[in-house]
Amino acid sequence: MSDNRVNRVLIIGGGTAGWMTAAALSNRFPNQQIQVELIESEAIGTVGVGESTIPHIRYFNASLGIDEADFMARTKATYKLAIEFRDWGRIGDRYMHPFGAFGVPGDPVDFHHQWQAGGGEAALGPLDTYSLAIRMARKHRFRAPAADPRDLASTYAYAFQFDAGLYARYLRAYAEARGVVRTEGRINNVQLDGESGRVRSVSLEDGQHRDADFFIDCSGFRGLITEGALSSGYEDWSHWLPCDRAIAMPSSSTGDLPPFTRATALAAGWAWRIPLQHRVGNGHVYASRFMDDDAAETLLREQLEGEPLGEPNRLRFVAGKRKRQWNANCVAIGLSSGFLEPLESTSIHLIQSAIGHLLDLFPTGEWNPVETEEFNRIMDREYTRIRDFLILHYKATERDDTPFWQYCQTMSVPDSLAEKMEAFRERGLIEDYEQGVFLKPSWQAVYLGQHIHPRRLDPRPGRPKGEMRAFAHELDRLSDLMPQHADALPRAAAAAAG
Amino acid sequence: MARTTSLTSILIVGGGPDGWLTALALRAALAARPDIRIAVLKDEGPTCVPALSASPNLRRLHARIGLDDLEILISCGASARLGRAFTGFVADAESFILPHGEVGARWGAIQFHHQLAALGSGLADYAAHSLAGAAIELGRFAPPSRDPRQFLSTLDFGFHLDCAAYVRRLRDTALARGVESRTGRVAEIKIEKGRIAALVDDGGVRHEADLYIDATGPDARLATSLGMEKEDWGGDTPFRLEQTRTEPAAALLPPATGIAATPTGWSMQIPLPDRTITRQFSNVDTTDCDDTSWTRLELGRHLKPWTGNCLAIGAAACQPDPISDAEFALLARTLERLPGLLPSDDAMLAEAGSHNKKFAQECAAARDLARLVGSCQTRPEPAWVAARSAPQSDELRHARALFEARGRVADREHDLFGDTTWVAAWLGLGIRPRQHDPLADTIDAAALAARINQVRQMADQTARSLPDHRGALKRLQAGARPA
Repeated sequence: MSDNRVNRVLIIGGGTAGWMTAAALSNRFPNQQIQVELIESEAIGTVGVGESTIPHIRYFNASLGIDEADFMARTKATYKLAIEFRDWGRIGDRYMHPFGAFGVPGDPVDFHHQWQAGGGEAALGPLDTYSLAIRMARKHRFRAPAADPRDLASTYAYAFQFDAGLYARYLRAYAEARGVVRTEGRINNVQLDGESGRVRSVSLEDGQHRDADFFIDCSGFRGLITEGALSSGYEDWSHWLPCDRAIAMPSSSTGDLPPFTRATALAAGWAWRIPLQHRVGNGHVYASRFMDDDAAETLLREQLEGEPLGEPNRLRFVAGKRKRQWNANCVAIGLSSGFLEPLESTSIHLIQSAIGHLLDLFPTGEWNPVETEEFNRIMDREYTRIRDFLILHYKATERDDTPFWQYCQTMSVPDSLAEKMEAFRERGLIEDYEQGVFLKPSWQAVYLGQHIHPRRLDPRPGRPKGEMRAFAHELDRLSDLMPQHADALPRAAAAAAG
Repeated sequence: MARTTSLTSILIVGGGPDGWLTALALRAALAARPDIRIAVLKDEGPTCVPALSASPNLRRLHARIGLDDLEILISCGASARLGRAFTGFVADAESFILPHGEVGARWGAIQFHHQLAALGSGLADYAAHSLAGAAIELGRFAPPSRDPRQFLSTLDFGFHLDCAAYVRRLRDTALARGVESRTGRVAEIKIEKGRIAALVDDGGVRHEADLYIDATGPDARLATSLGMEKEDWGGDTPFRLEQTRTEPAAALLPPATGIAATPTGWSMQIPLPDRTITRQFSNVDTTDCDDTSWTRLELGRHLKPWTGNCLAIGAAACQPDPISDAEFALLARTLERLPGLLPSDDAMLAEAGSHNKKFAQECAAARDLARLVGSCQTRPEPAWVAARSAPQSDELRHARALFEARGRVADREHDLFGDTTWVAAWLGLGIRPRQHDPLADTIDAAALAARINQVRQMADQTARSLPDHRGALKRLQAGARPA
């Protein structure tokens, strides 16, 4: 085998990205075939946003052989079936983006055509009543999906809401047990190889040096290696996603345990509410051009349902992505690779996706640019697709009550999104992706939830109204049979929470 | 407020397999709208080549429109196709097979060819680790099992079809299901403002519809009269002259289409039970074209096959190099998409835009697979040397570099072919990855060798337990059905 083979990997930064990467590498290359070391500093805080996830996280955990009940207990996790969006299309609106389908499974005619052709809400009742995941979420109920594909209860998926700090700690234990070495320290210098332009080593403040064949930059927004040393460049998307600040502030539990995350649109941004077992995660994402920090904090405090716990954590960011996510012998994972606001809970998914593609394309020692090219091509596509889906939430609004919303309503959007919106407006076509994270139900939920309706419908008739109503009734009945979310938490988790 | 529909009639111009398949697909999609008329102007259309070699995509299409594959296999003068067997493309390799169905098995996340690469042998016999590959070698066939525990469930098949018999079969079914058949050929196409206003047939009868489907084959009569812009792929290959010949059937009926390269071109052998049809492709620059038995292939695609109220399908939309085997894959994708894109107004812009975008990517995959063969073969004759150096897309160049570097199939949206086809093609043409998935090195070498050996034996033994191809067809005719 080649001498250039990767024998040592250095991960710069702990946090969710760093420890997810370390855990995945230690699992993929057992018996320390590759030495993995992670350098982090207690002095540098982690951001730890992204406490809310999408169902893909379950595949990541499963690939590590993680026991779900144990994981939920240790990360104080709750189940998640949907995201509720409040006040987005119009003030007073409430709609849910579920992890599951709308309408009768297997219908050749898309549900939104049937629903609208049948008279919409007036004749058929709210859209929400046609999604089992939403029905369950509204009633705060949960049960794991059925395995039998013929069972209606197999038509949804679920994710988790958890404490990202505890998740990182959990994965740290996992990785360290498999030979990953953690080094406490701050990096103050990065040495490049003049000839190849590759990263050779890093120096720590205490004078130690560490060299490695491959570096993974999980250092957060600043991108210590990817930007600091390699100047990978940044693609700025803030003209489409103008929010550039966030304040995070946990609060005490209020007793009820909704199996969903809430995103409430505010005057110059939006607030999240993520119910965990032991507390509620809250935050306010806003645009500093339209609101100052004090006003943003006041607004966030008004949103809190329980008592605030601790001081607010303030973040600054620019929506966008690193131009080259993989540059030379360094891959950026997590916030160092770019930032998309957590409106659709994609932060951890982007980490997971980068890890998966990195493992698929893990350097063989040849240092072929084609691997880098493939990785960047896939991650660019992933980023732009999530970006477009996020922009849709801002663009598809009738709100003009503040300068922020006036801006969003009138801003131009990327061509890729404009074409999609036009195809839906014109003929109800959902141009979902062959490979990608948001599929048909996601687009249905946001389009219809934010009042974008097709001008023309599918000429094929849908189900008769009576059948549609009977179906909605069946979902109602099924959801009533499911346990309450709090009772559905794994015993170990409940015990730990109790 | 939304309008539901103004669609009342669809006219399919062309009575070849693609025209009738379209009629059946639309009739099935519009089962609840018998008021929407679907008619086929049947005398127009591609002259039926005597035999078709169809990939398993046709089975997917049959399933959608409710046609029984096995029944077609025994009633249309057909035989089964388990893959394509290539000879003469690589100097030091005798032949290779692009098999249908599964090849080997994953080991966790590790693809099968990486296991072979880690083992250090077997890449040249990639297809021998599939049931289709083994069965082709032995001339055996049986329909796949539906029981996933059976090794026989890893098999998939396409068809060799007597074109005339197949068309009759499709037409009879379509008529029984309410499709209207109209005689005549197109004499005049009336265009108004970039749209078809009406067609007049050679009997003077006027035909009007809300949506026109151009299924006239390579002539693309409607598309051409609308002035649809075409992307010319003629530079991809010099072998653009076609001639067909018929020979008696061989005693042993091969369950594969034979693809053979010769110094002057290549041929496609389609073994029907009662005769063998050979489509010969020759160099357009050196062959004597005065002989009228030659047909010239106009390779390429229409940039906007759906323009105005006219959708071009099949060879009218794209004529790929026949070596790509993309004909039915492209048609199947179009017809799977069409029911969701049925127009509900006159402009049908959203519908057309959606189809055209995806179709373009699918055509690019077809073109790349043909160029893969052309660029990787190693024949020394000038025409083949020219085929080797003809231009190729950036996407193909990237895909090849990635495969050569580490055996990975480049990620591709709207691919027409599965990973297995790409891998079998690269490997068959002698392309070897320099490195493989490092994960494959984590498997114990003895365990890996044992398992790969087991897969190969299983393929071979199962293939040996199957009847010969003719025998299998006879059994089906006698009413046998798979478990």
